[in-house]
Order: sequence, then structure tokens, then C-alpha cells
Amino acid sequence: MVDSETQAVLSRSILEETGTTVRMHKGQELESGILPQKGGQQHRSIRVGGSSLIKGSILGKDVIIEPAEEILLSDGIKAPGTEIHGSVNSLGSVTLGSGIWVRGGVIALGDVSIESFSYSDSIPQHVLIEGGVSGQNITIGDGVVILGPVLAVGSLTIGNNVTIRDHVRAEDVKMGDGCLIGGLQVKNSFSCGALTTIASPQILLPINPQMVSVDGLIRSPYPGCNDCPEQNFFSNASEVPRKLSCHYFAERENNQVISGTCDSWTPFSLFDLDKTIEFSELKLVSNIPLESVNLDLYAERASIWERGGEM
Amino acid sequence: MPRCCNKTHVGWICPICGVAMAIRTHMGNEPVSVKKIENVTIVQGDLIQGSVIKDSVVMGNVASEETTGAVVSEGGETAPGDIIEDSIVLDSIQQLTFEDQEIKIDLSSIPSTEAAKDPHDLFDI
Repeated sequence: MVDSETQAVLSRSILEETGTTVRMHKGQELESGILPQKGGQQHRSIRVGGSSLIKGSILGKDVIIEPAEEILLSDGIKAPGTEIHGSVNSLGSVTLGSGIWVRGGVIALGDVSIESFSYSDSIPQHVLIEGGVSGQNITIGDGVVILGPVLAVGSLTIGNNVTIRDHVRAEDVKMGDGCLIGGLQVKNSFSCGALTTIASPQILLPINPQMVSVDGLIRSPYPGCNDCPEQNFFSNASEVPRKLSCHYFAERENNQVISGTCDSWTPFSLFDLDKTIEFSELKLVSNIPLESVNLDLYAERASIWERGGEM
Repeated sequence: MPRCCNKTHVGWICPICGVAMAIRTHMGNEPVSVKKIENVTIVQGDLIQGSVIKDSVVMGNVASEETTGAVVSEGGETAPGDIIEDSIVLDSIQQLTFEDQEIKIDLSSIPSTEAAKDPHDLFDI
């Protein structure tokens, strides 16, 4: 054996591609996205192994990102989870495993399923999607953090302690305990668990009261949290997002959520005729006085919560 | 779900200390030089799990030197040998066949250079 042969590189197989499938092995790094290079390849099914890094977007039919695993990378450090620098786009369905960070959004013609966060010291469990999520029917597991909007053509099922910074819109919404969402538009049916926060001071719900089921009350930061009794504690640059996730309102022990010490927060009055307006298909529930004609008077104090503290 | 100050929380900033949720970025996974793994040998009985084929490249986890005839069971059969959990790559199908016999050429059957020379060969300069 000559020297040139002994100096060959021990390579890893990153991608295996056929006419109908793409398989990326776990713990690998791909310098580009997984995109069609010619007509028809947009219909390939794509499966990405856990704890991989894709420096681009994904487009295929059914896309499955497997849960992260405990994997040592070539430099000896443990892989911090799956990372996708672009977006996940599907002509079919999308399944995202836990331990994933998507810097773009998720768009699917079919269903979207996002696995729950769970507790593990050895395996990355975070689920962070910086963009939005849209699809036919969407299922979001416990503890998922989504910074964009979530738009479901059909139903939307949200677990416990889920964060959606932007608005939520679906025909049917079922939400667990302790969630924080930016806004809500739901047409057919709505149910949610205890200690929910909706940042927007105005939400749209089904007209039929029998299609609305809430465990307790839903917190509206406006107007109660504008005059927070713990203002000195929260006074800094990130005051608004800190108040949105306020631990005085609700505290969390693992996946359980319990009521906090604050009782100064204001709820939505879902069935108060003075605070609701019925349209043809939806009912507006507002904490901004409905007879107000000078919305500028309320805009700043109300909209800071919807914007999550952004300027 | 973000965790900070010994508590989990919703949102993207810890309500207690104001530190934003952070995730360590993936640093990638570089191929490993063969020079770091000397004498990779595959013998009869080794089990290789993988599928990618390229030229002269071997990949995957190489069994440690301390492995002493590990027993590998696949499909109900048992075979002694080491395990590589990814792919082996060869440059052609022919390389999959190994012959112990060396190729021998009978030199006596080949005419000498002088005997093969044609005296009228125009190219014999």
C-alpha cells in the first residue's frame, strides 16, 4: 500500500439519495439544504437523522426530522441537537423530533407534528422554531417554543407550557395548561387548560358559547400588567417578555403548572356582552373598551404585549 | 422548554433574571483522517452495516483493538468478528473478491526482445 492510499480520508456518508427518498445520517453536517435539483425531486420523502446540522432549507414530500440523540462529534464534544438553518417545507406532512432548532419556519400542505420537550440531562430536548408553522392539522407537543405565528387550516392541538410568540389561527383549537400565545383567532371550537396567557388584548372566538371551554380564566396582560405590583422587579430592557412569562402568575414544576402569588392580573371576559362583539362567524372579545373611538389612547399600552416587547 | 434559575418557564426570556433562552450551536462534524486510525482491516466474519459506496473510502466506527472475537448475530446466524456501524466503500465489485493465489506468468513462453525483432522493422531505430 502506497502513502497516498494510507492518507485517504475516512469519510462519512452524509446523504443517501434515490429517486424517491433522501436519507441524511445522524450527527452529520450538510453545507447546503436538501432541495430539488430537477423536476420531480420535490416529491421525495426526506428523513434526517437526529443531532444533524443542515445549513439550508429542506423541501420534499413527507419530511421527518428524527429526535436528537447523544452523539459525540468529531471534535469530541457532544452534539447540541439538530439544527436547521433554513426552513422546512413539505408537500406532504412534517414530523419534527425533539432536540431541534429550526431557524426558519415550517410549512406543510399536510399535517405537522412537533414532538414534546422532555427532561433529560444527556440528550438535547429543546424544541425551538424561530419562524412560523402552518399546515392542515398541527400538533404541538409540551414545552415547544415557536416565535412565529401558527396557522392551521384544520385543527390545532397544543400541549402544556407551549410558547407561541405570534398569533394562533385555526378552525379548532385545543390547548393544554400554562401556555403563552400571542393572539388567537379560532372559528369552530376552542378549549384550553388552566393558567393560559394571551398577549393580545383582543381575541376572536366561536360565536356559539358551547364551543368554548376554558379551565379557569385566561390572563390578558393588558391592562392589569401595565400596572404591575412587581414593577421594580421587572424594570429592565426585557420587561415586557419577562412579564409575559411571569412567574408570579404561574410557576412550573417539570411539566406541571401551578398558580403563582399574583392576583392583580386581568382576565378576558369571554361571555361579557359589554366586552364582546359578534360578527357573522366570529366573536370579538376585547379588553379595550369597545365604545372607544380614540384607539391611540390605548394602542401603546395594549400593543406592547402583542409585539412581545419588540419596537 | 427553556430552563433558567433552576426553573422551567414559558416565553423566550427568563422572567426571574431576564436572560434570554440560548441554545448551543452545532459545530458540525468533520471527516476523520485515516492517518489517525491505522491499519483498518476487514476480515471474513466482520459485520458491516451501511449502504453508501464511493471510491476507496471506509467510514463508520471502527472496532477497538481490545475487541476479542465479538459474536455478531444477524438474521439468526452467528458470526465471529468486529462490527462497523456505518458503511464500507469500495471502488468496484471486483474488490469484493479476494484471492490468496498470486498471479504467475510463465516467462519462458514470452520470446526475448531480440528474437521478436523483425530485421525489416522500419520503426526499429
